[in-house]
Amino acid sequence: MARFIVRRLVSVVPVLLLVAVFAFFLVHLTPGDPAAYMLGPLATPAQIDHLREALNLNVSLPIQFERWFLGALQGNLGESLFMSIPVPLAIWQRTEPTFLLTLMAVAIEVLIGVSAGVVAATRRNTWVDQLAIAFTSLGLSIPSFWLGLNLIFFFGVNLRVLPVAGYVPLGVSWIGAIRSLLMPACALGFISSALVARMTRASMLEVLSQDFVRTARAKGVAERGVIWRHALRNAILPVITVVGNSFAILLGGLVVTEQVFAIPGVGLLVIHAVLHRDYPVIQGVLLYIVTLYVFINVGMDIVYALVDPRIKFG
Amino acid sequence: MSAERTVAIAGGGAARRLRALRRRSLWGLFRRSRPGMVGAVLVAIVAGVALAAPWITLRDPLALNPAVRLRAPAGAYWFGTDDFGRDLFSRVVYGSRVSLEIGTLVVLASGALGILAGIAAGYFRLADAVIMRMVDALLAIPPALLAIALMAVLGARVSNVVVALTIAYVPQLTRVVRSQVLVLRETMFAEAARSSGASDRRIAFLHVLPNAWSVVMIQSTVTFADAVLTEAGLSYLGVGEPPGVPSWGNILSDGRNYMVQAPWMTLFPGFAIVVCVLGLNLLGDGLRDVLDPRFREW
Repeated sequence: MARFIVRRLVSVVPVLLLVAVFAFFLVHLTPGDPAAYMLGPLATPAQIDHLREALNLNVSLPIQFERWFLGALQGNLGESLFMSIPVPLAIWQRTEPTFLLTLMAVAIEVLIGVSAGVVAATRRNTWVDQLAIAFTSLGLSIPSFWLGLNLIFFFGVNLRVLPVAGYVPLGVSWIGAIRSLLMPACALGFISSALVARMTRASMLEVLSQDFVRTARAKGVAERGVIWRHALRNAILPVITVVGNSFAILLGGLVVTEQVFAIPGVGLLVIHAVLHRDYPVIQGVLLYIVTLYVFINVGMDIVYALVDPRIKFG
Repeated sequence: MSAERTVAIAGGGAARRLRALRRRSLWGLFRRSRPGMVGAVLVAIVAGVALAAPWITLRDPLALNPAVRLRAPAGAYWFGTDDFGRDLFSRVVYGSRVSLEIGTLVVLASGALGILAGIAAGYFRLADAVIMRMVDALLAIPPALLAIALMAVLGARVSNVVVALTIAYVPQLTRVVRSQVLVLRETMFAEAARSSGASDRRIAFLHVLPNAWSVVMIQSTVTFADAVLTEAGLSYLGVGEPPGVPSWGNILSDGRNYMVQAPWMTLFPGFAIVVCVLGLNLLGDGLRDVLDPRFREW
């Protein structure tokens, strides 16, 4: 087991290393001088020189990378050009709403996906099955921002039951925080629930045809117990991996959703950084989100291995 | 699939008949796939609208007319007008052109790159190591975030949207093609071609690739849908096409400040995106039902 975990953790290293290289070279993809491009047409030559110095642009490329990379390893990702604070601090200040939003979105995703998948599997090839899968598949085809705008219009403007936009920090009121994140979490959870629903359905169909399910029925377990306790417990395992993968949709959708609901999280930070050409922040957020995504998936694999005793660790 | 090739040696007429038979049976399978048919119809509608745009619209999608700003859908303005008095029907119709053009270019570019990279990775160990490490790294970045970060350095232009989305979606295709190549290169027909002296390149492109085609088609349809969705998100955020270009994301972005006064500004482009992307996703499902034997229920 320990060997499996170590091997899985080691496999992350080349991925993160390459993403770091990519984040570094991102700045050099700009047309012309990155410093001049970042500061815009109104910058004075002195300002540009200053920034070139700060970004180490005056030395050769390998040395630039070495300095940047050694700094990044120690958590020094440079300073935000726009906010004049260190990048890790800027990200840290924005982490609370994003973390909470992601958590709520995953909960909603699993809730919608698993229940739709189970319902579809138990009523296989009926209109209920098709409706459940069509409903979640719709999530794959709806732009999260459009869904968000419609939710705002309906629940915020017409019914006035939820705040239209913004975020109440946990420190002020945890109910307020959850209320302010409910709509964006629903939007995000819904758009990412399709894969979970399909996987749950397929996995449930396989499990429901197995002998132990027939045994459970034969010894008189109620159908509800058979499905939710006996079958689902065995069917849920492959779903764990899909939930891990769905973070690609979640973390990507975060940026747009936070913008729609004006939630001051990491996603909004990256949008401001893009609009102000604040490259150190873009690099920092990119590394931050990729690291999260990669480790979430490693975590899911380890959970999968821990939960399922049938998996052999070689 | 390899039967077709064997017959081709026997005689042109027989091969043609067999191909026709196979095509008809695939079409027969596809026609029985309900999602596939619904998807095909939706995609055909969007494509038809895009092609016929100049003939079904009455006004220039860019023409400003402050006298009729924020008109509700009625009479001459089927979808209403926006805050500059531009005809929303024209803008949404022309928006289908922007989305489909970008989607098509992204699919062609990522398809070509993905096929080449996938074949190279499937055939040469050194290329495999290099390409798959890069693919793993790119796959670790959520595509939407990758596209946003690339747009930040490239600048808001239509051609850059295509470049950014291609880079974001090429890794998935590469991986799919590579896994197919790894399976197909070990099959009997590839073995037969090798023993009759064909070069690796000839086998890869003439024997392996045609058999990987169905998987490429399925993945390309899904990529098309994702590209249209992400492109709308980019232009909604203001990092996609420059403002003024009548893309669905731009129209939605213009409309968000008028949600209460003029909900039609966000309603119609949103619906257009859903119809287009849903159509492509359903088409992908239908193709998978027909072309991917693992999911085929006889």
